Parts: sequence; structure tokens; C-alpha cells
Amino acid sequence: MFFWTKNRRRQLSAYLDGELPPAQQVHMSEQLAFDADLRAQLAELEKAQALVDAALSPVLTADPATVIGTLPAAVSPATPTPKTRRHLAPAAIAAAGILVTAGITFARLRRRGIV
Amino acid sequence: MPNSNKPKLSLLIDENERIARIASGDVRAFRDLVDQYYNLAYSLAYKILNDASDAEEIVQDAFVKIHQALDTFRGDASLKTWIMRIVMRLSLNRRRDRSRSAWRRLGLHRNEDVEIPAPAAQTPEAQYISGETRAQVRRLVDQLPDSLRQVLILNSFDDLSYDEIAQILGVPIGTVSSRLHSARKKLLRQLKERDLL
Repeated sequence: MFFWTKNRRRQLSAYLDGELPPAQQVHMSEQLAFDADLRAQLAELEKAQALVDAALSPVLTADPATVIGTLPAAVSPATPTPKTRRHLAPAAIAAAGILVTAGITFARLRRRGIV
Repeated sequence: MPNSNKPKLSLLIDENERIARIASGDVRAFRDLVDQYYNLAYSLAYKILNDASDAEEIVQDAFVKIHQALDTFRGDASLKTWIMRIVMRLSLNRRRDRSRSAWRRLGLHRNEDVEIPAPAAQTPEAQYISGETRAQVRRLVDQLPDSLRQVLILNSFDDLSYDEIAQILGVPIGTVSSRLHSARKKLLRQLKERDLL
């Protein structure tokens, strides 16, 4: 008897969510039609569920579009590093080297009084 | 009997195509994904954390993680349950970290129960009860054991079946049903004790 009652309550919970297999769902509907106590239990469950739904319900949320804007760049497609930057580095080093060499040569020539 | 845990084939093809587009850097495809699942993700995070700014942060983190991990999505579950699983895990981690913080242990944190949003900012469901009742019921839900609270929260989503809840939690459907029954039983008793029912 206890098992039957416990099992029926568990089934009632699943019935409320529409999760009983179709045959059991029909059977439960029939039982409810004749059993006032069962109907009262279902009404209690429905009321409790409504309270839970209301209590858990979130405040209205922000527009997802604004959220996308705040997502870090990690989710944007990778921006390729401009090629010029990669090629500029050796060119800049070479230019600096030429300038230093020219400077040293100029200083030596000046010391010797050539220029 | 067909395995109802598996997502429908047509759905899988659409999802696979979408994932491939996102993985190849299609920002619009990712934007559509966020648009489609943002509210669901936010609601789940909020229901677990009961804090709007924490929930927003978690959802942002979740979508970054989703973007990074999309190529590991194997399609064993639907994209929806996979996303909810990620949001759930991140939210539970945040909740655990929060409860461990010294600030909170000392009782110096902001009391979320006091924060009752203005009616205009509430969903129609929330307007069904007064702020005080809402706070009391929320407290009762928060006091449930983790396994019962999680299943109760997931079941509060109309569009989640027991099957999907089972996938998100990684437990059999029977476990979802019995945990839900236990959660409701405990809650019913406490609601009656407080004359809320």
C-alpha cells in the first residue's frame, strides 16, 4: 500500500510535467476523474510549481546584441597581422645598420681630415 | 524502440553546418547562435546564482568557452543541451566560489533576497507573487540539496524535457523523475509549514 501510494505520487509529479508514457498518462487522467484526493494532490503540486516558477523567474535580460558587443575579441575571427609589419622589421634593421656604418665612416674620414 | 537521447538527424546536419561555419570564422553564424540561446543561458545562470550581474558575466564566459570548444562538440547531445551543460557547470562553479569567499562567510555580502526587481523589470511569472513570497520560496529552493535543486531549476524551463534534463546532468531519466519527486515533496512540506500553500 505504502509503495503504491509513493509510486502514485511520483507518477503524479511526472503527470504534471506531461512526462508519463501515453498509456499511463491516460490512466492517470481516468484516476483523477474519480479520485478527489488525487485531484487535491495535483492541485497542490501545480500551485507549488507555479510558486517555484515565479520565484526563479529572472529579471528581464539585456538584448543579446549588446552582449555580443561585449564579448572579448577571442570570439572574433583572428585578424591577420599586417604583412608589412613583419617585413618592415628586417628593413628597419638594415636601414639602421646602413646609417650606423655611414656615421662611423663619416667620423673616421673627418678625423683624417678628408671631409 | 528508438533511442530518444539522440538528436534528430536533420537537426544534427543543421547544427553541424552551423558549427562548421562558426569554426571557419563566420561571425554572423556565431551571432545567430548567441541570439538563439542567450535568453535560455541567462535564465539558467540567473536561476542558479540569483544575481543578475553574476548571471550576465557567466553567460559571457560561457559563450567564449562555447566558441573555443565548438570543434570538440561531437553531437552526442543537442547543441542546446551542450550549451546548457556548459552554462550550468560555470554557474555552479561560481556559486561554489561565492559560498567559499571570506566576504560571504563573514556575512558581509549583499543579501540577494532583499533585491526584489521593480515590477516593470519582472517577467509575468515573477509578478504572480509578491516580492516577500518570492524571496521566501527562493530561499527554500536554495536550501534544497544540490542534486534536487539542480533538477528543479532545469525542470522550471518549459521547453526542457526529462530526457534533456538527464542529458544536461548526465544521469538516467529515472533519476531525474525521482529527484524531482523528492524535491517537490520537500518543498511542499516546507511551503505548508510557512503557510505559503
